Amino acid sequence: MFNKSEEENTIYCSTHNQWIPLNPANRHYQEVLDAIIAEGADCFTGDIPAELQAAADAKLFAQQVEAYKTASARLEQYQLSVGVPESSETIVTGQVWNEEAFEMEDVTETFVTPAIEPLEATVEVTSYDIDTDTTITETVPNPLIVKDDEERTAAQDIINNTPQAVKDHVDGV
Amino acid sequence: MAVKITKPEINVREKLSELDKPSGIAGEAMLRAETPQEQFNLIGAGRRNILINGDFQVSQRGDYSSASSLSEADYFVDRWRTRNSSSMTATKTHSTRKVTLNQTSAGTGSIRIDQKVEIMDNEQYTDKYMTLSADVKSNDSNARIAVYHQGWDPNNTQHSGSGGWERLTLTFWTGTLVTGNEFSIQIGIDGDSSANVPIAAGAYIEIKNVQLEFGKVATPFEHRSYGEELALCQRYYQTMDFTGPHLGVVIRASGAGSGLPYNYFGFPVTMRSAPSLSTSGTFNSGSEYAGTPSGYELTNTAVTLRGNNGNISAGGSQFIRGGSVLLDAEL
Repeated sequence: MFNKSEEENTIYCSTHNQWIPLNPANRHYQEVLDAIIAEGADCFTGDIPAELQAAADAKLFAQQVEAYKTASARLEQYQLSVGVPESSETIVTGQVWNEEAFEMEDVTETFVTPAIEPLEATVEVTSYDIDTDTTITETVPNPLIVKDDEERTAAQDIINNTPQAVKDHVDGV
Repeated sequence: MAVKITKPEINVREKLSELDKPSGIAGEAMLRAETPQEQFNLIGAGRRNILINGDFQVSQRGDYSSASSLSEADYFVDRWRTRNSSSMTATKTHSTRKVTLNQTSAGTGSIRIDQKVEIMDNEQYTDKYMTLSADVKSNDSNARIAVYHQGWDPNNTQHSGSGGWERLTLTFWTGTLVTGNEFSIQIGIDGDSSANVPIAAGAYIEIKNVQLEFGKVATPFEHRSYGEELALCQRYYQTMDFTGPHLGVVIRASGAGSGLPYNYFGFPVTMRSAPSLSTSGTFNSGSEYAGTPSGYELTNTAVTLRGNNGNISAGGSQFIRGGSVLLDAEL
């Protein structure tokens, strides 16, 4: 539990009997901000001073920006169960003089990115039972796809729960 | 007039054999070095150890010579923290220039110590080869030295678990390490990338002479004097001792009216940041004493202490006595 008296330029932590400076480089000050983010007013005796609330809000915003960027980058990776279709892109690589049209015309080149096939949805796992001396083969969901889908779901949850102000900040709206 | 000059004969074969000196690879490298700077780097001359208190000389927080329980993220000897994942039942002991971790009940997790390295600017540790080395003794082959720099380094070095002393070394590439990133070295009984591992009751690790340096080669441990090491430690932790005969004084300025007394105490070493302040021991609370002081203002160079034994009249003063003020600016 924290409190800040008007007479002192420090925050008092009654849990650890400790005075904490208002200094972002101090690790206990960062713990105060974390407590405000996690518990809100419950961690403070009396009102949270405005400058501390503002610092906690700024820290939370920065954390959400980082989480949103990381989650977005994860979702931009292709889905292992879907793969990637072949794609091509034509770009201008230079210009030549067209004698008949009496004008410069573009020279283009087409780059083809080959398709990436989706992974097999299931794989066979063979196990051996030493007691019965039998080999059992069973078909299970591809663990790579399972892990990929779990990570994508977690990333999507982060994006869904990100405040619009954070999304706008990152997306440059 | 003709002058005849004679020179002694030279046996060329003999001279060539004299050049065939018994120098090793390191000696040859020294001879091939083109500048004194190259030679300086080859022998690892100058200040090398980036870690502070690598030989565990300084212990301002207290005496850990008796085994005490190992907690998670708990600073003990200066600059070193204990780490304990999964609430393992284990102890730590500090003896002369050595730290021992001991598993007292079997469990699965990790027990280790770490030291965070302060990154002063974005160039200091970015894109460098560095080498960590330590003397380690253990009966567990999961005893290892490892590095965390924005994630666990994929490489680490394990002890054989033979129960003897081994000098473990680990060379790694730092990658991008900028201010605010975590850069720490980790030593203990631990899994690859700090995965939990089974640890038997009675497993132990003893650690001495830990060194982190630039370059791909582990050079001999750099010994520093106690005074020098203490000053380096005080950047991160200091104590103000008001026990025994040590008296502090807080005063109430004339004309300020009655109220609590204050005083300004400068630190012997500038701290990394403004420190947190706590106290230990029992401060005297008779009428001439200020009771347990509190931190009115904290900066990285000084603290203004306030007495808390009731208001005193303007121009008056009180002693601070009986306990210690602890100042923590650790990473």
